[in-house]
Amino acid sequence: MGDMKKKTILIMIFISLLLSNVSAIDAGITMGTFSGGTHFEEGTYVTFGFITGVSKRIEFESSLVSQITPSPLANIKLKTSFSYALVAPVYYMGEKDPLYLNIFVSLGIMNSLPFDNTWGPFITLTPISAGGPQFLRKERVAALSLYYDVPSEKIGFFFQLFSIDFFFNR
Amino acid sequence: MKKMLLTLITFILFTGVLFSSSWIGGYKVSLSGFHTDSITHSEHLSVNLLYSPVLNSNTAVTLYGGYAFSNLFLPVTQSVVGGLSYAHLIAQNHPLEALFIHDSALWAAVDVSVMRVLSSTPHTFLNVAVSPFSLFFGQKFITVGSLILTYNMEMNELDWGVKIIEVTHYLW
Repeated sequence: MGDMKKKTILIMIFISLLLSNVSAIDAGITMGTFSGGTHFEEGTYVTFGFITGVSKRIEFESSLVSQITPSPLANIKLKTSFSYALVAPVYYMGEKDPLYLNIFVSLGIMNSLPFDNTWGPFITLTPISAGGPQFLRKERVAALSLYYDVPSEKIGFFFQLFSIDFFFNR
Repeated sequence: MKKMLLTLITFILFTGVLFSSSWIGGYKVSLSGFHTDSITHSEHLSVNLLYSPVLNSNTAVTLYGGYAFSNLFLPVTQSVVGGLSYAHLIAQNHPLEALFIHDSALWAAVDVSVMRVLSSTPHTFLNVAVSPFSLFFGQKFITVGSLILTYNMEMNELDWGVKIIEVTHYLW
């Protein structure tokens, strides 16, 4: 059997497993506000993306950050992160009742789209997170991030006053 | 003009009692961005106290007033705001209902406000916000994606803005 054929079969098995288990995945869409520091052009920004639990305490998020005023869909950035629930598990709780309030710490990378040499890692503290997949909704308040812009070697901040995650109905 | 305004406010306050439910007061916070160059482009966080003389199962009339100021990092022109909003029920059963555990209803709202910018070159804006998507949860409205038409009364300029999100929370 050729290498190509093996790869195709493996990919098909992987996709089949993924699709058969998609209903069991704690995942949803996320949207929120975004206030950039001096690294970002002056404007009003929003975020929109995808969020999923990868373990009971760890979630993965990938969001687009876009300006809406004064220039809609300008200065777009891709923000990708892994977050850890400090207080209690949130995802894949089965029949167990999860804690409603939580605190998250996130590590991630943000880069401009199209890529124009603006990128860097960030660390975020989300002091208030309320809800979770079992509540179909999670609200995150006052998430403060420390961002390091690699090309300019400068440290800055960004702030998300309010984000809301809507989880798919299981 | 002043007499007319006072009469209107008195009329709303008194007739409101006839139509109101138990919720009449609370606060609302919103985040907005503006296209006009007369004020800064970073988002304006507006914090308001509100009074709803009319709030029943399909109509809400709200008077509010407050203060708009900066986000954490960038300087934003500060302003005082006062306005009147009218919201009406669109659908009790809406397509996004399954996303929420609590009962929700889809409303639409129109909001007229005056915004006085507190800067060395003060401007007064007449703002009309149209909100086609407002969810009511019994004691809380969450409104997203409102379009704002702004009219600069000193410079006679028409411009626009966006209210990203507004949370109206009744406390008493």
